[in-house]
Amino acid sequence: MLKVDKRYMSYFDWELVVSIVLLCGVGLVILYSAGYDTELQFSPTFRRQFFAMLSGFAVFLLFALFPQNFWKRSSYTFFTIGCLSLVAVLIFGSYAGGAKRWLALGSIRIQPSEFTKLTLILGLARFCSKQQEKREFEPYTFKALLGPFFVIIIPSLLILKQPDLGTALGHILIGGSMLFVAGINRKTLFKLSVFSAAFCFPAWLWVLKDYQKKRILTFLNPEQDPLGAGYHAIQSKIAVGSGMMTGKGFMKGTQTQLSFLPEQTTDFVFSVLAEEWGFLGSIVVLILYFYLILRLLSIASQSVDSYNSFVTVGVAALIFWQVVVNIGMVIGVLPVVGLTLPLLSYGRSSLITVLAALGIVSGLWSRRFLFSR
Amino acid sequence: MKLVKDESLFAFRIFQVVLFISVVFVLIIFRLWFLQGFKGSFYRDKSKNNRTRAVRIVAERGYIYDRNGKELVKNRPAFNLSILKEDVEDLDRTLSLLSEITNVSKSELEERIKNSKTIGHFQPKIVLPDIDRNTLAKLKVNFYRLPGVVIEVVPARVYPRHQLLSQSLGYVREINKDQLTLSEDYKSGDLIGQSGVEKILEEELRGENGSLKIEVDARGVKKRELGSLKSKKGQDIYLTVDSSLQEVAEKAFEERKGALVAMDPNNGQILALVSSPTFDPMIFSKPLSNEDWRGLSLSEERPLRNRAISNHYPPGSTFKLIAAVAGLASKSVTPETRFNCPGYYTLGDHRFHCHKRSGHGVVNMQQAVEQSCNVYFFNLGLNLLGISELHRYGKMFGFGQQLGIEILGEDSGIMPNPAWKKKIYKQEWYPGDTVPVSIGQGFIAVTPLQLASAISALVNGGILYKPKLILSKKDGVFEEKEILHKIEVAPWILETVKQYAKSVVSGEHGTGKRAAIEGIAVGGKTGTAQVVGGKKDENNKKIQDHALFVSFAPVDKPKIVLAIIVENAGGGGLNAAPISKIVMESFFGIKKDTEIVEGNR
Repeated sequence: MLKVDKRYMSYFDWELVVSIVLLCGVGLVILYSAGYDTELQFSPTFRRQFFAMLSGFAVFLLFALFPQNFWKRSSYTFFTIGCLSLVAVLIFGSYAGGAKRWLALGSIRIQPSEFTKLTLILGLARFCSKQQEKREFEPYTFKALLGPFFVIIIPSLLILKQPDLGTALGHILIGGSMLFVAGINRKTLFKLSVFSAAFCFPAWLWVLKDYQKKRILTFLNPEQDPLGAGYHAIQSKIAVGSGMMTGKGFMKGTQTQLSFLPEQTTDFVFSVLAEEWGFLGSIVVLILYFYLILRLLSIASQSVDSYNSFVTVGVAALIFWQVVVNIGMVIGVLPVVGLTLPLLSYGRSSLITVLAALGIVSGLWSRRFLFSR
Repeated sequence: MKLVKDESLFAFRIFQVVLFISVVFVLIIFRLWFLQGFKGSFYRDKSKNNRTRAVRIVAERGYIYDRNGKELVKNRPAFNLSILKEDVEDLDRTLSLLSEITNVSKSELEERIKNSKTIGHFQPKIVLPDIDRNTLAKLKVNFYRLPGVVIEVVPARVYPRHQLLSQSLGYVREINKDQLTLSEDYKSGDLIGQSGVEKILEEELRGENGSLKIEVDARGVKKRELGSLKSKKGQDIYLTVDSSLQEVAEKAFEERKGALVAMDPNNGQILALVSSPTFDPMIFSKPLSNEDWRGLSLSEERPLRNRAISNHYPPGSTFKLIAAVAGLASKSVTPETRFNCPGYYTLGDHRFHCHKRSGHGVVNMQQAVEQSCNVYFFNLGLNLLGISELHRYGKMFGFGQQLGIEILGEDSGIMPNPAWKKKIYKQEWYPGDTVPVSIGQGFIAVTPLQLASAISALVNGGILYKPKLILSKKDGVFEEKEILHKIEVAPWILETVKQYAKSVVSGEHGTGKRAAIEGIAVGGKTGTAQVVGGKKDENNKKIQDHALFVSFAPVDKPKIVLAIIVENAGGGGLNAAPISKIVMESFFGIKKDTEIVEGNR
């Protein structure tokens, strides 16, 4: 099954790999600074991330080797495993910060809601490509959307139950983006917007937890509660702003080194970058992300198989939405929800998921010579 | 293959997406420019004047108590004089003033600042750790003149009983580089358990560190508290040890090297665990000179070593109790079986001697145990049982394996058999190897802990308990007792051997008479372990044998078991049995008869 054809190498998308490696490198530089201790040059966080990165790249290469029909055939299996692991979290999961998000496998703790982003992409791509083939690629009508709706909503609800609003929303955004690219007819799009607007009110009343509501309210007016819920938003803005154009310099960020933000290695990692490397550093990273996403979309539009296309769009959506929501939170334009910055944030589950997803895309794309158009 | 209904439509959707993404990225860049460019200097000022400081509050370590709630380890507040350089206005002036107050020369202060460890920029550097109260008072008066000088209050570890139980309690020291990688919760300068209970219960004892956000003024003096995450004190731990018994037992060794284990035979709980000589864990509270460290770790005395669990010794004649059980249980002999002891035993052309050169004459098992006749057990061990049976019963009683006491460093001892010899020495097992093993010499070696556990199993009706040193934590109890296994031997056999052991202490010819105490029947067995190869000390004198003694009391329903070894002291009856007496008397609350104690010297 794992034959390596010479052509794979020449068809391999090296530009994609370079941008991934650069982003990972930036991530390590930031973590090095954020975890620095005079006695211990490399903090435990840094070490763990470094080794997770190595295993992430191993997964990347491994997944790139599997042929398209393997992914196509096992998409539903992966999707099911993903959903079951979310059920397992609700039953056996361990509490951290008021939510059940973690599953302990021996000494390793994993966060299944990170992996299910990928299994959702695979499952939905398989479902839509089959469905759309049958429907001869007519744009989705409201009725036809019912199937995909269930595929998306099952993992999302399970995650909402943990509760993890940010990640659940992430799943919905990824699925929605894939459906949009698959094509939704105009009337249906309109209906959908009306429906989701109408959904917001009961959601506020019954679905959202108090602390989630508080976060949203605080976002609208952070100065109201500067030491409580608004603390993050304010300190993060100070960190970013004080970086000015060229930054305070490597390991010289006062906000960072004084640990104003407890989550500076995870959700607020961008604030460390912006403080120490300034506007210029931030722009460089944004351009890298922008390039990565465009490259994925370009691959998606050139793919000859709708399954490949949908998977690639899904991965692009995963990266795009996480970047936007995470950075939006750090720069104070979106509420504080816990979504990681892909490839930069500390977190093994998140890092390995993103690298695995990119590995699948690279593998599918490098086999394009097998399909004649 | 067809991908879409209309390819241009698909391309248009991708175009829409790219457009959307571009707009979003441009918006993000605008926002960044707004924060970092347009309002950059505003936020830069804000960050400079961000006089909020995140201070780490180190959690207080849990206390350790004995079984009766007496303090064995506690904390006291220590005051560190630190400097936060970023807040200092004039370093030279500050140092001059500090030098005046503390009587430490300015150059030394400078040196200390240079070498001081910190956990990152903008964190105070410790200049003088643990300053005294007088200096503290003087500092407080002058505080307003010393911007950037910080007094940090940190908990320091105190061992109020000093050397008592030190090897088992362990000690704490400043964390080293390797240990720093263990967890994100540790920072340089933190204390961490290095051995004993302090190490094995590090997680429980450590507690959870807190943090405090404070706003400071331009001098770095606290203006107000902005919020805090309280630190959580570590759990208090209760040990099974009775500290007064421990103290008596340690004193009984009178500087001699050796070990003692006192165990409750009904649950495996350790009542006293002596390893002599000991050390005072307080010496680790300040930086240790290389000389001190060498003295502790490398000297012949090895005070850091927990002899009671980490050293193994030949059990000597104390093993005869186990051999007796093996003989009866395997039906090799009955209590009435007799052997003649002419004072030696001949195997081939080699003579194995009895300790009584003139011989014990014809003896049954009771007499053989009471008088510790070697020849009886040579006959039993070599001719009737054989090494595999001795091995089997030895294992049953817990020899040759770790028993699982909570603290680290337990030795497994040696319960030899032919396979073992083959593996270690690549040699066959000879009958001449079995002969010494049947009297607890030769290849067999046990830890004092194993000896105490084996005797406990003998006298409690055949239950081998896991030795327990840790009784409970404050919230939540550890298992009170844990059975390793039950020894499948008929109760009458254990009872019979127990009575034989009683005659060792109270019998007419008993070798353990010195262990007898008033009013309570004591059982025991002496042992004298030859030091291998007749080693000589530096004065070319033959190094003395190890003195051993095991005992239990009261015989009918034992509440305490002792295993005692005194290194290079000579015969067990003369040198180890008196320690048993002292400890038993204390345990049963019998007044000490000073005359007899004197007589033991």
